[in-house]
Amino acid sequence: MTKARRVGTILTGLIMLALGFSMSLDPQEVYTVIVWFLGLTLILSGLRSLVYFFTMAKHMVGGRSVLYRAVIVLDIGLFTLSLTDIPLIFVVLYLVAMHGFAGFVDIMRAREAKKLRAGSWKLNLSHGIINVIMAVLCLIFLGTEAVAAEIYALGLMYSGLIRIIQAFRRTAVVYIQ
Amino acid sequence: MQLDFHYYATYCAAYLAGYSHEESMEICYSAQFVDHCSKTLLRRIKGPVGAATTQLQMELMDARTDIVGLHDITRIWASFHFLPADLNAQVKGGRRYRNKYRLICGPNGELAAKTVEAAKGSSLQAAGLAMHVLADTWSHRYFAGTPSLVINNTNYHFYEILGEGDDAASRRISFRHSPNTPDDPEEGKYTNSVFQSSENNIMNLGHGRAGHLPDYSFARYRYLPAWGGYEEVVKDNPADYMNAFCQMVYALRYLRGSVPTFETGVYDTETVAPYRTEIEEKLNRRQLSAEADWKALGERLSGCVIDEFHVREHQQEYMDAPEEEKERTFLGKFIAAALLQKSMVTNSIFSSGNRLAGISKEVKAHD
Repeated sequence: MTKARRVGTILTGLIMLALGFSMSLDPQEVYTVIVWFLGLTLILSGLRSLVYFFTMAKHMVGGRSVLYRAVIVLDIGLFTLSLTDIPLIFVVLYLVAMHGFAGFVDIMRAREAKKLRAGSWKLNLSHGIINVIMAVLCLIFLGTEAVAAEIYALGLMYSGLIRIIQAFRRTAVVYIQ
Repeated sequence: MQLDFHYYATYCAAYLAGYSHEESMEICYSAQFVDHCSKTLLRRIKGPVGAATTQLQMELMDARTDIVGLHDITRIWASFHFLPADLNAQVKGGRRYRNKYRLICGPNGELAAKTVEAAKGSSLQAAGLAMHVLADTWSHRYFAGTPSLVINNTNYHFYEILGEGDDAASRRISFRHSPNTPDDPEEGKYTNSVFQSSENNIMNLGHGRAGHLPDYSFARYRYLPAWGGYEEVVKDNPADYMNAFCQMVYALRYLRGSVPTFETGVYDTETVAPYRTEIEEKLNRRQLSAEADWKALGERLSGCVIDEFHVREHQQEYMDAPEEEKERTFLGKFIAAALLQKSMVTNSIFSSGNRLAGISKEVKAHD
């Protein structure tokens, strides 16, 4: 990881910690901020990937996966932004589903990393499991909005902490001679 | 390529080209030193960091991949390890893609000839440095010395070719991402860098996605290079390494004045002929390093002991020399050759309209 990326990851982790803490104080406002933040990030990322596909990746073996990813991310981003003026419970459901899915992906990545003997699998696995547990607990307490918000806030703070830890880990590269 | 070829095989090539044992030692030391002359080393000896010919793993991990950082990476890796084969190559696609494509390394390009010619009449250090660059054009062909997913990526379609002729069989390689676990040629287990979807990620520099396979002389493999339009490429390292060796002998004979001109595509098979079978055996042996094999051949050729490579060997001399004397030291001459090579390659890339190595100014020899 480059120094700039390391700083970026630490900043993101700190923002997540701050959002998690604020959420436990005022869930409604912070949910809206999160939805906007998430939506815009996904849209920008999708657009960037689209430009990358049309200028570079379309010439690459397997480059079409960049296009698929771009369209899916853009679509999810647009959908996320459309959630800003619907009842809080649906927003919570959506965020929980996103986290549950991210947790599932992390567990799958951990399995793959373990198979390839990459050292990152333990952190991926624990992050994935916590994300899935958080999603399940939120679903269980969905009836009690305050508890669901508390659980989500804790999950967000945990994710922020993991990002900060990841920023300090060494990245191994295959050294070319 | 590794120390076995850059140091010991280069010694053999220099000796066969007619250099003395002492001269051959200086040439092969310089060839190997290209893999060690990092900014960290240059700062330690108080040399010019612009002369860096490599980046250490630690430096790579922290390397910036913004535009300035990418220029720096490209200048180093394209100039010394992935010499572009054709800076005017024609390919479908926009300017951004074309510029990356044109940095793909390969042998017998115009820059390879310029590299050897630039060392003519210069120091033995310049000759050694040129031999490193020349040899790498064979082992690193099909990869570019700039971070690029669209050029350097590989996928699951990667097979090692075992055996020869009608008996040849293919074994699919499942790469792992554990740089600390040694490769296992017998089991066909190799390490490569992790897939990163970001175009300029440092993991996408050079042949990282193919692991160390290009560095092993025994390896034969077929795969789909990211730039190849789904056309399979077959890489025959034993044949390429043999060409590299014969081309080094020819280039060194030119540098020594035994042949009047250096032309690409010419190999001194005649001088190498008495040793060809033995060299082929060494190249085909499935081992992670052929140091012992090449060392034995070199010592038999010259009847002298080839000292092991020690990276610190000439550093004290450089550090102790007064400022005006530094350029006459071993490392001073190496640094001069490195600056010249980097300038020549960067300037050629820049002059071709490609800005991936940044803006350049030509430095002439003996300025």
